[in-house]
Amino acid sequence: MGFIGKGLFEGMVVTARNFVGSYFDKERLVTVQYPEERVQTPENSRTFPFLVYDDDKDPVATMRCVACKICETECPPQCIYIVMDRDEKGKPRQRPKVFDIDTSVCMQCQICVEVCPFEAIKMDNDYEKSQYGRFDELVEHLPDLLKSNEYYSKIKPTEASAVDAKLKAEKEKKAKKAAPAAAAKPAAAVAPKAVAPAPTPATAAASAPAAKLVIPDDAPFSPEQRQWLSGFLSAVSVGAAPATGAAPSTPAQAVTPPTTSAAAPAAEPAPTAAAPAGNWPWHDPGLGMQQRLDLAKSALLADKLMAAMAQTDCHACGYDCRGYADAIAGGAESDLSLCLPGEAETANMLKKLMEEAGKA
Amino acid sequence: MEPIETIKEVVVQAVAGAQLEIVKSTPAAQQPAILADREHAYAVGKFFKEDPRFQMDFCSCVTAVDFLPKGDKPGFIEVVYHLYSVSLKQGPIILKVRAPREVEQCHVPSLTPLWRGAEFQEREAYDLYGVTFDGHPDLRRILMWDEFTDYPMRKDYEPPADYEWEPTPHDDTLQRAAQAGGIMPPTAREELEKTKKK
Amino acid sequence: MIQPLTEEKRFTLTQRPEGLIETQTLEVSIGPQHPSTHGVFRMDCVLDGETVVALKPVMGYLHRNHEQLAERMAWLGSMPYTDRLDYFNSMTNNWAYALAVEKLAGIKVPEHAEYVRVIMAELTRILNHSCVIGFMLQDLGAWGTPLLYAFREREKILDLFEAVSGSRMMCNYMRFGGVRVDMTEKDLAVARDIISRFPRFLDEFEKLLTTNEVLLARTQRVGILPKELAINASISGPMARASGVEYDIRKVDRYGVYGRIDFRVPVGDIGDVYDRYYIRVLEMRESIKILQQALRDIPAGPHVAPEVKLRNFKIPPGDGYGRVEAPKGELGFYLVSDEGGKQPYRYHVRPPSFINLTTLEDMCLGHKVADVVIILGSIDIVLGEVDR
Repeated sequence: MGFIGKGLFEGMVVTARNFVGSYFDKERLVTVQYPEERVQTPENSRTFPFLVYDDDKDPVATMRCVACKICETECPPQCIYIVMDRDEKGKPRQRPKVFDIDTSVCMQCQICVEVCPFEAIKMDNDYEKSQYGRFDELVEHLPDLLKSNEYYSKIKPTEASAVDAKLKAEKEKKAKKAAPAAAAKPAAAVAPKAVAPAPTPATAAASAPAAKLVIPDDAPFSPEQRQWLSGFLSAVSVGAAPATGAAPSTPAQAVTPPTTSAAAPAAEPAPTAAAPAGNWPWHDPGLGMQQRLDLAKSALLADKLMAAMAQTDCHACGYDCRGYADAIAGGAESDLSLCLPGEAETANMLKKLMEEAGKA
Repeated sequence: MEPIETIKEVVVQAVAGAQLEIVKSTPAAQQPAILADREHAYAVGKFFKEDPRFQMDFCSCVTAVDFLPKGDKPGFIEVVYHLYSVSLKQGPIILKVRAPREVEQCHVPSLTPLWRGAEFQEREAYDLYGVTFDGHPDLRRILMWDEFTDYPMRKDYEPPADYEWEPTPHDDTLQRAAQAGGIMPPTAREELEKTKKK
Repeated sequence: MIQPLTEEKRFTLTQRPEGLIETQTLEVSIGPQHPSTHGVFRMDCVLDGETVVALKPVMGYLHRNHEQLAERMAWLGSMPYTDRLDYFNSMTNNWAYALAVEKLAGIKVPEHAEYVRVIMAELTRILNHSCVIGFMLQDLGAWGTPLLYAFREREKILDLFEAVSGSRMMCNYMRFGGVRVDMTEKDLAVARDIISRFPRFLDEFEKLLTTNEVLLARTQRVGILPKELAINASISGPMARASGVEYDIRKVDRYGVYGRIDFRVPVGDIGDVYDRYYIRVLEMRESIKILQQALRDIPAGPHVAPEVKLRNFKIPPGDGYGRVEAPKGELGFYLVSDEGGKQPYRYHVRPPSFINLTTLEDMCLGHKVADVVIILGSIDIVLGEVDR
């Protein structure tokens, strides 16, 4: 039943159906009259990054960013520029002084968000960002980038609540680990090796495997070697910062042979909850390089290496600070320049320490 | 497909005088290649195309790789051909040909008379690496403009230092922007002064 | 083989033997600024009246040096750049690159992630084919109607991509060993809804176009590509299958989970523009079948292989070639890794559009200028891929 122009006629029927149908069927009328109406973008939608802070009263002090520079290194078009804030003496404060994002270069790939270990940088979904200039106006500086956690929860509720839960859990874990570690010192002094599992039961189950890796007394190693090996193996097998806090604390603490350690550690007062995890007094990001090295005067190479790092546990190198030090001392890691927050200072100090150790 | 050693034996018997080697890849990839010498590359390609066991009638990918001299090993530019068979649904056979890096000596026989699909890709290798394909019907630049000199994808290529604006400069870009007199934000310039003083 | 034109040949090509009138040919440059060249692409045509006697494609206007950029970044850093290669189909670009790296490094992808990848790739294929038909008809002169019908359907799929990966076109979704974030049950339900409505749209679209006399008159017997030339010129994808070449990488290499999915591969016989249009319609129907099966069989599981690190990811030295059936043809990545292994030593993209342009001249000879535009539209090129 084909007449000339049948195809054309059918086509026009389709067009007519669409036209008339657009008055009745929502699905056929797809135009949104922007800017009077706007399409609600889905939750996951991303445009440019911003930095999250936790407390409105002091955004700069409570921002989560510690200027570890991982996002700067991983950014494909290199659109981020960070300069760490230092005080008058040159000691690094763990936050950025300058944090520039060039939005004309940023390709909104979200890689900076994925690699940030501190949940500090997140993606915004604001797409109306045109400016009147091409250069300065498109660079966003630190004040423009800082936005509150409430704002983040408003634009991305599911993601923000997951991040909040994760940060809370991490904080609790750190607090729980600090308290029993303080109680562990007198107990550990009495029977250092056998009691190593005891401080850990209150903390997460992850620390239990670390306790199992303590080298027994009758292994053919010197006390120093035993202590280092316990720490190294627990760091390597568990791999997470909280779990390594408990087991190596005993080796770091009891450098002298077990029999004589009863007196000295028992006299020390328990540290406050804000003290660093484990018994590494140098593990404070607020201390300067020389202060940290002075505090780590013990004979263990791994301790000195750890003191040379930036103490942020940011996993920039692929480990936490203790794990990296143990890996270098044990020979598993030969790259000495992986500490991003520490920059050249740390790399040079690590090189110096390794050379000294090589000569010794 | 038979293992690569069998294929090599077959080719050595069929093409007189060909000197072939096997180049291994990562164990996971399982893609070893046959390295042919320049004089016999065309004959080897023709054999792969016409032999009824292989019938490699589809030349999928042609590319060049630049290897810089390392120690006392001379550098070379390697042209890689990936061949597949549409009629027998098999492949890939990977054919590699090497040439010295100096532009006057960097000549390789063109396989475009065998596979028309290699035409544009060989032109691209010529444009970006400086490999001259002898026997190519129309060898001229394809991606860069015709008056361009030098070969941009080589490892020792120096890009021109033209900088307009570098708001987030990094590492060597920072140094070169400073040398070229590029405009930078004040903080970047401060940091540059500090590194110079050190 | 087409020989290059010398100066004298160019001007003596059309001497009419019984000639009262001696004419000259006219060299016209179609592009690079042109609404129908699918990007910044130039064709140097030599015309005798309206008939094409020679045609040389000139490309490189969008050359962004993607291959050299990849050499200075880590392996993951090039993933967002692969989105911008064939900017319509970012999911398949990402998958091709992830596949090449996984082949080189020996990474195994979990089942759930493989199914998600197949779903995304087939949705991309539907996107691309409906777009290309729309654009081809726009070039034919159907001002906007089929184009915007196709884009109306595309919007639904793009909304799904935005909900899952964060961005409509530059998705950056695949990672080595899986995908970046998982598709939730809600997303899968949205995908099922889209697929249930799509056949109805496709029927309407076909009714609009397939028996349309204008389309038939303008596209049948225009731009014929013979089968042997297609194979010899490394043409791949729907363009090759329209000429009768039975080669689909999904069936040959059986990458991902395509080995388990039951679908047919449509193959044309003449290889003219109409065949290339109609084969894309048939491929969209097959994609719907694949999607239905994938959405039915998707297992639960992790969405990425847990042992793959995001940072400091190293690959042992060696080289490898990985390819997928992108909507435009065979998209392959040739990667070379050296000692150190943190960055690619050589990174090469085998773009389907670039190589499919090899036979543009052969197809256009003897046709009119208006046909050149349609033939180019049926090849389905994207300049991001041609020039990289």
